[in-house]
Amino acid sequence: MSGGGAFFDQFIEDYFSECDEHLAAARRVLFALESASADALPPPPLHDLLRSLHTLKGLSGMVGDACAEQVAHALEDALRSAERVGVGAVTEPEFLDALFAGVDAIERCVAAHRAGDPPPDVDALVASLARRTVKLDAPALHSASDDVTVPASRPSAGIVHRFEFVPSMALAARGVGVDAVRARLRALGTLLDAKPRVVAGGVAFDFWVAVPTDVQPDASWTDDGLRWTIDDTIVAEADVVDGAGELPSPERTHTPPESPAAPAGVAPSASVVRVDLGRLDDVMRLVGDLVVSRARLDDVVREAGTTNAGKLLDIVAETNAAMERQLRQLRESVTRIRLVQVGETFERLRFAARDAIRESGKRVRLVFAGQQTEIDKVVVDRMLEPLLHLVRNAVSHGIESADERVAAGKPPEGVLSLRATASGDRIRIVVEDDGAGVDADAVAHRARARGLAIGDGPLAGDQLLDVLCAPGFSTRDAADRTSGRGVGMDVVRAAVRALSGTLSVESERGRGTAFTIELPFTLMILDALLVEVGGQQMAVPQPALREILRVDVSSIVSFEHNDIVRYRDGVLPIVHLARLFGFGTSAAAACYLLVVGSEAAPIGLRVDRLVGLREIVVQPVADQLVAMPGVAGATDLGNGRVSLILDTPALLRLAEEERDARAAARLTGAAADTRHPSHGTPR
Amino acid sequence: MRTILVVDDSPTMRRMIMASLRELSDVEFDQASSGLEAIERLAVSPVDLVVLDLNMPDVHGLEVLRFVRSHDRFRTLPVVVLTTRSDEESRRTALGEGATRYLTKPFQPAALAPEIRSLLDAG
Amino acid sequence: MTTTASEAETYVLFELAGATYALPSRHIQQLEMVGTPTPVPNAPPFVDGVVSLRGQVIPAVSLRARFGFPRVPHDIRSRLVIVRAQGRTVGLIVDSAREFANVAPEAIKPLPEGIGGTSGRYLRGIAHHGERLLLIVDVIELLDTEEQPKDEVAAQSAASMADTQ
Repeated sequence: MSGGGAFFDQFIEDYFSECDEHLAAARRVLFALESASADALPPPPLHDLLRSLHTLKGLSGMVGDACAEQVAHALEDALRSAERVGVGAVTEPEFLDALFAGVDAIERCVAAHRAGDPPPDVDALVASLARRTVKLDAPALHSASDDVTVPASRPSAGIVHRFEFVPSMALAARGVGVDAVRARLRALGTLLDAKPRVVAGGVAFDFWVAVPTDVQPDASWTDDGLRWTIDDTIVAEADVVDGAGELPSPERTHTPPESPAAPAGVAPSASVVRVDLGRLDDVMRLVGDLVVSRARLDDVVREAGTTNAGKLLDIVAETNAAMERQLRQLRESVTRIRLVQVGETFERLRFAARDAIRESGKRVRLVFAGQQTEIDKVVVDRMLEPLLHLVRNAVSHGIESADERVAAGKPPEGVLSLRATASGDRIRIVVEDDGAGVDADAVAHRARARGLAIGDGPLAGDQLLDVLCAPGFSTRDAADRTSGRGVGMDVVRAAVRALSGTLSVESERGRGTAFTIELPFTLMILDALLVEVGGQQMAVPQPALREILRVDVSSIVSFEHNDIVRYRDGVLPIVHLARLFGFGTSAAAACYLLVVGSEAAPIGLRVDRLVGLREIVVQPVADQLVAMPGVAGATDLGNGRVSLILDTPALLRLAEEERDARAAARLTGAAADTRHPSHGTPR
Repeated sequence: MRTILVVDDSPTMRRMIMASLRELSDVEFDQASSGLEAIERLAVSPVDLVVLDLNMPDVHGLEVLRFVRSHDRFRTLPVVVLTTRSDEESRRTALGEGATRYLTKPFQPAALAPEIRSLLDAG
Repeated sequence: MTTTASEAETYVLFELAGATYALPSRHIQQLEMVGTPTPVPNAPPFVDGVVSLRGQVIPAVSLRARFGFPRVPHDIRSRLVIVRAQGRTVGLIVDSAREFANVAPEAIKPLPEGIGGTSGRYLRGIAHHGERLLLIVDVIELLDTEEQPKDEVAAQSAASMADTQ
């Protein structure tokens, strides 16, 4: 029973996106289960969780993610069987742990699938879930849990209205369908039941809704095929049911009312459209192209100023200004679509922190603030691991055990807070604990023992951070499982830097530690090919690349001030970037040519080495001292060094000028322009 | 032109199903993401064949099947149940409720199209 | 050195080719290690390249080159002095920078006739600080790139590069 494999690869992004949604939903239910059980409240209904697992199983099977499929299957079976046994079995702590572990495993499987890595080993987990699965007689195809129970946490007080909706083609064309009606009724009150009914010539849908006494259905709804009456025969109080659900009348199929409120944090937003990130990136690329065109227009405007173009120049200048405005607006609206609420990431951190907290045996309360703060999706995705490390660090090293805390006069439960605020064009995220604080002396001692050169004064602020972020630095000897997933503070800082952000720390012995991350609100992200030119790493925007060729240096010939090489039916002129930039030239026998330019007039940019494809964050190179033609910006590759991003059209023009200058120089016999250092001059 | 109604609460799954049936000529698709919506689509627009998932957020697929078969108009409508349940009991139950075919997920894309085509040709 | 009641200003002192210079600390954002600036093609010869600082990409200028002194390799005392002026942020590479000094405005005297040439252009004046002579730098002039350096030394090095072609 295998899926279509490669055939369904075209839907892999849809798969990942839908997985994210179902995993988030599953996590919400698990947390609700956990807190309901801790507060001795009736648990939330399980049907959504079961459905999520079921869907995850099905989709994973289709795309060939056997690991995720296996775990989802095992989870679903275990959950159904526990449910049949009773509420107690579902909310039993060990079982919940197994559920949490399972959802975490699915997440890791999907992540591995996404990264192309080998899947994690889930055999032990699947076996342990199988042990918990009571094999009852063949499970009914349509079991009680597939019908829905009304959660007692949402008593449906109000007046019960019975709505009748008769669908039609005309209504459907207007967007008034049964789903829309259902959503409308949910917004009105609590949806108790929904059922289809055969009527002459078609169907009708009956909805029973408990409407709050101060609310009225909108009279205009009758235009949308809706009719309603008050139904006194139904008592408006919800039946209190336990998780396994005795239905008030088994023949009726129930419609699930609102799912219980998500634990402290993100409200699911109703008016959201799922936008394909890939398509957004395409639009951003278009914006990039427009920017290039506008730059060309800029050149024309400048040149035209020197001739007597007069009125034409005015028109062109006006168009130029208008385009700049439009571009800015377009860019703003696109970046707005990429924004997500940082609260989603906080919830994922809560999930991951749970493990660390359990293992440490400490009592830690997670507090969030500013979850509604919006941030670029890419920025926040890349910040997940670094933030996770900070959180785990705080749990294992920052916050003391309950006994230690009481001895120090603190409440036994430690508080770990994640706060997000927006100010100007930056987002600030603070990870703060009220633990023991960083022992600066121990850190300094450790640093000196490791040969790190630091001054005599007390370590604080940026210097302290520098030491903490030194690669491989740690004040603990024992391998710490909760922090030991290979992410150190150096990686945290590198990740923050690569996003044009800053990291800082404040700590006080006995009071706690706060890490502050500042990130730009939005980023310009580009797909780029990293190459090496004369010993320097540079980035070439992918959209500019037509082709990449590997050639032997010996096959390049010089012809009329050009270097050329055989290409297709003709020749390809080559621009030797290392020479153009005045960098050292490589002596290697082979090189790479990046074919850019137009179909009709391609040009090969000669580079020494290909480093790889990367998604890079574009940082502007603005200062007049360094804003040179040919440089479109710069990026921090995470190693603290800056790599320049090449502006290929400008490069081509530069190369042309260079070539013309050389040709002219050879004609007159004079030395070439001294502005360009000649090749061979070390820099 | 025949219309196939694809019923599944997962948008990705719906896309996969439609892609697998793309080779069928003279066919267009309608979609529903819930049991009630499936019933609505059947009521308001012409449908020649239904691909039906069972596990849905409101009305279970079997209920949809039961409802559909109780309607004179749809008694002979081909309904292909496409589900992850692969046990014999489930299969018999579904066929007993009136499913024309019972297929399981994951499926080979190449395996789905011929089944559907044969049903459309017969109808 | 006694200072008068009028506000003495704090300066950051740095060393360059054996002399001590002073920059008003209000223009100074921070002091950093030099690191490895990334060379920028076609930038003026005194610009060593760009560095990334707090998420911003800024130029790193070799003050030795700017002032017409020969370059020397960086060592652990070399510093990147991050300067902010007129909305621009630029890094200046100096031999070392560790001290602060308070200098009153009256203590700053105009440059004597002898000091001309390259650095003279970028100096506001000189001041005595204890036993030392501080050369007070004019930040605005330093960052100004409208004119190409006309001094002899710069012209000479440009010519010598052309000769090696």
